[in-house]
Amino acid sequence: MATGEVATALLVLVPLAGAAASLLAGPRRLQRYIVGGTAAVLIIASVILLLDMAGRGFTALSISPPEELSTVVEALGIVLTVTFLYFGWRTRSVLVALFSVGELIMIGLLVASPGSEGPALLIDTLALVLVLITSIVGSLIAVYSLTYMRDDPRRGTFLAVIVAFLGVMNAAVMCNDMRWFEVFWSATTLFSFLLIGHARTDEAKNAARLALIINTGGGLALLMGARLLQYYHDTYLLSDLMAGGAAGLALLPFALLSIGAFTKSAQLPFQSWLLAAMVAPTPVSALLHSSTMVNLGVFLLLRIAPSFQGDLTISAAIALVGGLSFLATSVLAMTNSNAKRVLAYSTIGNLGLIVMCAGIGTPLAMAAAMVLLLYHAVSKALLFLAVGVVKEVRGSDDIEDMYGLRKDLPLVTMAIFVGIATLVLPPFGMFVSKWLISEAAIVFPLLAFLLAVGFASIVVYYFKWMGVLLTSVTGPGRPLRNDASLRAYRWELGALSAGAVAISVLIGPITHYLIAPFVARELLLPGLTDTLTLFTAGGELQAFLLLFLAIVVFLAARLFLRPAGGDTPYGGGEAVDELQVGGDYYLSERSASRISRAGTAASAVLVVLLVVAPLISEVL
Amino acid sequence: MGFLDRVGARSPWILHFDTGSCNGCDLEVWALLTPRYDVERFGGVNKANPKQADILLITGPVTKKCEDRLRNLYEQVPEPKLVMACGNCASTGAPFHNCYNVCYGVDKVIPVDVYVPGCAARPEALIDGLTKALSLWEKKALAAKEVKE
Amino acid sequence: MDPLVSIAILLAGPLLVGLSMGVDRRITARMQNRRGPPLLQPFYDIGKLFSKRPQMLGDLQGLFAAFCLTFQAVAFVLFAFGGDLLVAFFISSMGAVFLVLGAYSAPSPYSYLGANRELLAILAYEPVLFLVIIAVGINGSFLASEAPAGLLERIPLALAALVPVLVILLEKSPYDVPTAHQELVSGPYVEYSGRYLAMMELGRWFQLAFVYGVATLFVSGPDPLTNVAVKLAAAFILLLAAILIDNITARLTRRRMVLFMLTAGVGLIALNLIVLYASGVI
Repeated sequence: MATGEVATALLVLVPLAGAAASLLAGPRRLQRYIVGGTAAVLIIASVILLLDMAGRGFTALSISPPEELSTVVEALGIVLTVTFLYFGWRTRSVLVALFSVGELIMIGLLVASPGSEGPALLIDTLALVLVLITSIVGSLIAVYSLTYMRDDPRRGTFLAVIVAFLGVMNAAVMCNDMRWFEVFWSATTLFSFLLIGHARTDEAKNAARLALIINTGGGLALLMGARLLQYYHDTYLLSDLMAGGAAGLALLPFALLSIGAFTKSAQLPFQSWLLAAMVAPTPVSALLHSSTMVNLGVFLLLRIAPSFQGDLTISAAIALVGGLSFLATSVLAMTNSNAKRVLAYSTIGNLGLIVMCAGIGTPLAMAAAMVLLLYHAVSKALLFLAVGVVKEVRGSDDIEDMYGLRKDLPLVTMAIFVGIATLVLPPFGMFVSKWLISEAAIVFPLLAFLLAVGFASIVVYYFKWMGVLLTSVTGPGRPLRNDASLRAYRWELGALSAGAVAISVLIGPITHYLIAPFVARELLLPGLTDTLTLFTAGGELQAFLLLFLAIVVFLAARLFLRPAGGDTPYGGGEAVDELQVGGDYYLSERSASRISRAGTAASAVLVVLLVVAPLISEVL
Repeated sequence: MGFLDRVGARSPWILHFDTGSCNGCDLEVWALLTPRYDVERFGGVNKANPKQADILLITGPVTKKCEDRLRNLYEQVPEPKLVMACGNCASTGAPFHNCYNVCYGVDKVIPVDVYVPGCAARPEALIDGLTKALSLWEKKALAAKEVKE
Repeated sequence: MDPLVSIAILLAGPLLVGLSMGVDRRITARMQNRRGPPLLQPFYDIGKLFSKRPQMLGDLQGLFAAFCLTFQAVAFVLFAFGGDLLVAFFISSMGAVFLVLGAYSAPSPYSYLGANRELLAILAYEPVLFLVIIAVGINGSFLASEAPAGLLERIPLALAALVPVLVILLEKSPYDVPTAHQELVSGPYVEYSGRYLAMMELGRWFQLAFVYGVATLFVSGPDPLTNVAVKLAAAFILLLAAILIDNITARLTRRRMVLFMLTAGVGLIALNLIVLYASGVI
């Protein structure tokens, strides 16, 4: 077997073995070795895969696994669906039961109608980027949860599910065959359900049930889409799809696949499960509900985006669902004071931007989407982990409980600052995607209006939070190295912060080697025009950007290394002994829920339109 | 730096503080900003913020309640700074010179640079005092620099 | 674009903005029947601030002031050298964010309130400015050096939408909500003094230079001399409108500010684009 194939096998099988081992291992020390070892193997294997791809000039790697394996995967699919049926009965959810029965029928249909044969696994740069995120960021989160869940009695199960998830996620993004993809997709649904319900409180159970309902529904849409894909396009292989040209009912499978993607990526009107899922322990939110699993939906959309580009209604509806999700969640995030919920809203918003890009579908938009996918995952994981540490130290993840965090947790504050800065500030990677999206949006100016208000809202809610962390520092704080959090956390936060900054520095090579090949596979990248100078490996903006970055990093380091001190604040002549402030959340709960309902209703109409449009255009 | 120090005298930002005045002098201070006396001709602006002020205009005899506030505000004005005691009360305590609750003038609390007499101090006199104070600016700036070194 | 021209723009921009602040104070004084300060007063003020010894609550504030100035200056440099307007806009808007962070980092009640309000001001003017730039981009190019001719005839309402943006940025009523002299002393600037206040002020000059710069893209003249004259006139007319509004209105609440900008400001540009699409110009 070639190096790439070995690495691929390791990326999927090692985590599954690690999961089984940590399920059986009792003592904490043993679990630490198992999870640590799995993480190390995953990181090394993903880097080997990267090097292997680099050695072949980043051309896609197709793998045809042995015939017996597809039988195993098919059987796994049936087992998963039966499990959903069982959980539907356990949680007394008629919908889950209906959806899983539907899924069983669809699986039967799929088995009965074999499509064209071809490689079931395809690793191009999009898959590679997602594998790297899952294996490196995911492994760090798995190690983090070793510390975070140290006092949990059901630690073994929790770690097993987290580790198994890494393998399944790696497998899902490498799939080319929809029948395989659907199985791993369902597996992530199951793991998400188990992890959300981990605490076994009523709130957790309800959240888990909601997630199961929406995601099995999405899974059904996905299966129906896959079946129709075979019916209209004669293939289950994503790589066989033609760019553009589809019309009438032939568009229906793409509409159904998009709806499946919306549920997984928690786009409006399906966003409620992701918000409820924030009851799960923080590592779960960081791993599944922000940086990896929810990316599966937009991953699928980016794969099929070239195929539905011919039809204006479908692509406009998809772009608008994304744009609406972005706008509504950005506004709602301003009105929320819980850090995890704010991050959840922001996740939905960023995924919305990717969906929007897939809808626009120009090369510029696709490049923007991939930049966003990569940089968002790293920064958002960092932010979630930092919030987890704050919750452990201060006992709350509410922003209102974080005043003056800089004083006792300077390193965590720095990590949050780095996370926010890399998500918003100009010299960092996300800014590049913000810029590309804005320029891409001019083909459809309505989107520019959604973006305008959304971008401003992002600035408001992130920097309001940052302001809370900086406020109320009276007297000298702790120096950076005496942070009040545990040493293990500090290493992980430091590593992720350094990684987030490092990939921003490497934006030139990353876009050149990882993003351009995927975009150019289906669409013609408009060369190295003026607006894309940034995209050359040694672009002229690159030097400027690096310099800028160096200055910013230097200043930021200075900023947190020195404790504050000095003069007294102005209080109209009075001495200000203690500052007592409260945040401003602008909208009442009622108007916030009104916005949420309006957004949900509007995007529900769009989703219906998505299904109806192919039918209408067929009739006409 | 000599040039910058001279420039400072062309941009006096004012902090006006009433330390228990009868409001007579306050009205005259406000009159400075009106079209007739327009102190902005000299670059003067009422900043209401000690951190950004250059000149403290103080009216009233400084009641005991105001003493700490006055000191607080004075300390928050960055160097170089000037203090004007506006009106008789601010200068000496005047009719309140033996009251139990009064400090008898601004200079009992903080150092004063210019005294403007009058009850109330007329705007013309205030402008006169302001120009007088600004003529001290360069000296103050040099003194502030020496302290720093 | 000729690099010499770019350097000339780079140097002249902030100086002209400084001068315009002096003009602004003079005109305002005349409107109130006063004589007003000398034209060069803003420069005297900046010079004086550099000679004062700053009193700060911590060095975090000073660093944020430095960030603010750096970002605004970089934004204007990009503009002067004919760079991408959107990039310059994003960089400039981050400069504004550092003003907010600087205010938050001081443990002072006025500063905290000022920072909250400044964020709302950002929420109010940023979408409009963003859309003005998008409108320019739709009509041709996002590059400042390749701005299409005849923008004024195509998107006049976008230029009109810059007026309220300028009112907020110049801290003039009815939208001087963040600095609100009479209630918040000077809002986000309360705890700034000496050279750090001067840095903030210079940052604001660069930011204004960028916004005026966007406005100058709307007009152009046939030969260099008229070109410069027409561009200066466009900026001056915007300033005049802002001064007039300042002198005839009283401060409104922050809610009114945000609502007005997100409905009327955004609406103006939407209306303009709809007309353009309907008439088939684009």
